[in-house]
Amino acid sequence: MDIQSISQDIIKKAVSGDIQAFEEIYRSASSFVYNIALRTARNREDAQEITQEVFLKVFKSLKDFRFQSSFKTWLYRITVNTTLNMLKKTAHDRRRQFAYHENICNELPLPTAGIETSLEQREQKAQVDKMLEALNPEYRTCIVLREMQGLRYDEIAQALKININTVRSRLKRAREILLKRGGYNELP
Amino acid sequence: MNCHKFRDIIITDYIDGELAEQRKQEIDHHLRECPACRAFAAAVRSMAVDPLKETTLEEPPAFLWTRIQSRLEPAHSGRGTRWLNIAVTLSMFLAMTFTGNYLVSGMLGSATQQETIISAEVTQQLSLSEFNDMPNEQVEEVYNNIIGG
Repeated sequence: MDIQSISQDIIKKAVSGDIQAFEEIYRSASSFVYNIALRTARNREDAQEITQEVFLKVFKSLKDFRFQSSFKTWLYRITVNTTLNMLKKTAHDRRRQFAYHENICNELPLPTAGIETSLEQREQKAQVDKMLEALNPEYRTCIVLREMQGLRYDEIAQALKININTVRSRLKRAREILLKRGGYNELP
Repeated sequence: MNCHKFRDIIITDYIDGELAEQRKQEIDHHLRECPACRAFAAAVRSMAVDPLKETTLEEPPAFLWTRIQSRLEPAHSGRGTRWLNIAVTLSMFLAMTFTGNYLVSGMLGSATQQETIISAEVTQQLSLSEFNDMPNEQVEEVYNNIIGG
């Protein structure tokens, strides 16, 4: 099940208060919401809280959802806004960000109970976390939506309510930072 | 177009597949011709794109739905409860009104009845007292005085 499989019928049922229908929406979209939150907030506890907040907001405002726009984009926007608000809220807590690296390295290698994570995967995750850590929240959000969720530029623009050229320039800037970080110095 | 311009496109639209076919072919052609831009494109992929794309996505913990659901249920059942509360309040109000009316009218009825009884008793008492005001001996004495002259 993925986010694309959410039908209008299911959404309408959920609007009428059908919890089973809403659970179906959750099952289809929670991985997407959780991973954006996890990669952007860089903390598992926050990611859970963000995911919870997102779905409570979705449940509450589903009745206002207009079928003209895509449910996916609508959900992106709620997720990104909730995540960025959470980041703003916790921005003052620098110690938390400082402690992130140890926290994420200890936490992320154990994604699902009962599944052994290989050393290679651990290293890969640690590398990704270091890369994301180097970016500010705005660049990070663009990168997460593009690389991890595979959104097109116009979808990112819609989700973040920004101009498509801003998406382009944020991605460019983020990648330049990552290149520098990787030791590449011949930037345009 | 110089390498600087090509690289601006390579690092964004070209890598992300956002270019129209003709533009893409133009970049492909330049990359075949220019080793520096080819190295740049390879660096972008290996350092800034592929490691992020290859990340395994995680599933949220199972308890999260339970936690969310526990926050949804009261809100959801709240709609029903609200109607139930209204219905209960209305029934109680009607019941109280009915009982109140019944009691008030009962009280009024019994008060009227009691009033009648009291009134009768008072009348009786009054008549008795009137009678008692002139007891038998006194009446007899008055009568004898009159008769006897």
